[in-house]
Amino acid sequence: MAIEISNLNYVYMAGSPFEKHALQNVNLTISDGEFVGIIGHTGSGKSTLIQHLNGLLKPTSGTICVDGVDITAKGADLKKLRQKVGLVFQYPEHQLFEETVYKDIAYGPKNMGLTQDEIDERVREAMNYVGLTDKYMNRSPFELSGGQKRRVAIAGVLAMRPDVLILDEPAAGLDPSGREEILTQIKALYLARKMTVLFVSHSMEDVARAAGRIIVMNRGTVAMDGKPSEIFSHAKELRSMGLDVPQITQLAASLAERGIPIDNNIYTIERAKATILMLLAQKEKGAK
Amino acid sequence: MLKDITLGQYFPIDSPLHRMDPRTKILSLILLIVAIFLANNPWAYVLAAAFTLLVVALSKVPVSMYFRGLKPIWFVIIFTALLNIFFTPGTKIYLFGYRTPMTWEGLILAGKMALRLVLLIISSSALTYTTSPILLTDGIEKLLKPLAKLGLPTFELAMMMSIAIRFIPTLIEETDKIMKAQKARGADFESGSVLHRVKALAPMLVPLFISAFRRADELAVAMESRCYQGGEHRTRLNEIRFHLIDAFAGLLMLAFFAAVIILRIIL
Repeated sequence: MAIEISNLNYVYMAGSPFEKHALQNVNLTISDGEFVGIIGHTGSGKSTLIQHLNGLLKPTSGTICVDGVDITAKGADLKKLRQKVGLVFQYPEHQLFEETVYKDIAYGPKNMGLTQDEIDERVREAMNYVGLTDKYMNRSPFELSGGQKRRVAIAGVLAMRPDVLILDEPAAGLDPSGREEILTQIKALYLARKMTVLFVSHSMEDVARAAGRIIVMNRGTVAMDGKPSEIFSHAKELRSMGLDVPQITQLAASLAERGIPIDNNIYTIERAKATILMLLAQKEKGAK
Repeated sequence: MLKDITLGQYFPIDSPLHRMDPRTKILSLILLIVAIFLANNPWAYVLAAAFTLLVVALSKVPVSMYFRGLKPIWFVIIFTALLNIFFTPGTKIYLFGYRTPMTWEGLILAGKMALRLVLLIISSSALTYTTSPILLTDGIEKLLKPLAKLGLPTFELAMMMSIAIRFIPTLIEETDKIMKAQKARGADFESGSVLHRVKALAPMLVPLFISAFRRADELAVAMESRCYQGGEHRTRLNEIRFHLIDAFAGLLMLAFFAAVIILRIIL
């Protein structure tokens, strides 16, 4: 399920004083099985971009090919596309509506016209993937915690068995433990289902942990695109876009400034911990 | 479709109409609407249309915006026009089938009604495009003030209205987001039988109502925590005042109204 975006432009409310050029000449290729983090300041166009990928927004100009099929062409099968490219929005409150968690997750497969048995199988599978046990099945989605609501929302999309999963700010607004849980779950899901994952966030920390590739959006254009280590070596440019490198990378940079021979591509706490311990061990050895 | 709802949308530019006192604009709109309904001969219609066009020109809001405001009601206009054309008794000019004669009188009535509807929408849009919601409710409150002596809770009414107007765009935006989230799960709001479509609304309406209640609750808490307790002794940062331009506008409006009445009497 490769996604090819070429010369994508999108203008909001054309011809009014509120006109806004949300996307300008975006060219991207996302290959099968990638875990891509899309990062950018508020209003950088990242949400607009992902809404094009399952046909919710029609580009003002440009084309998008999913799996070799031009989805911007007239008469494109959007229902099928939305099943293949699953999009989970930021707020689960925007999609939960059924009386029970089970029924809510079943909404997507039901719209696909599957049989009762297939729906049941998919709902259970999806709940399993996001770590919701059977006891949640008959609970109302409205009485769950914020993190649990998000899991239900993600399961609701996973139940359609998409090949590409797009998550818009899946961890925003959660407390640290809820955030931790959901991010771990997404990474586990990626490894288990081997799906292409696009992860939108404004938090460098969250993106740095999971993504193998980072796309930085700024004012409707792709400002940077590369491996996390490449992106984070441009701290100054990132700051000029209202973004920042992860705190732990900053720490490593200030350690390096003080003459400590630390790696310059540290962007997770685990790695920082291992490197610092190694440096300390070396120092001890040298002292002996 | 949702983007087409322009009623209650403010268009923030500077124009003579924007600078007028909201009270002048509200009273003028009422007079204009009455005049449009009083018009009963072709000259009065021409005059009303010309006056509305003058208002549109003075507002400096692009004409395309006015057309956009008309979009959601084209269906109503065409539907009533068709009813009028075929179901008004009179001189038959063309026969479709054998029971629905098209009549000359019907054609004229349809034209009049369509023009009235279009003028009504355009003139009301001119008010909302040129007046920010806050000024609008301030104006309404001031105009209703005399009724407070009769026990009408004018302040509360104005507050309710400004809150309602304030939340129209928010709720539209929210609806849009919810529709997208459900479409991403394969929801289909646009096809199928009527029953199917009504059923398809539940996944949209439930989250919308829940969020509206939540917002209302949060707003109430936010207002109370800032000691809000209604109209007594509450003052404004920007008091609305009449200016010279309001006098001109008022005179022009009265002249127009008088002209329509005179045309009604003499023709």
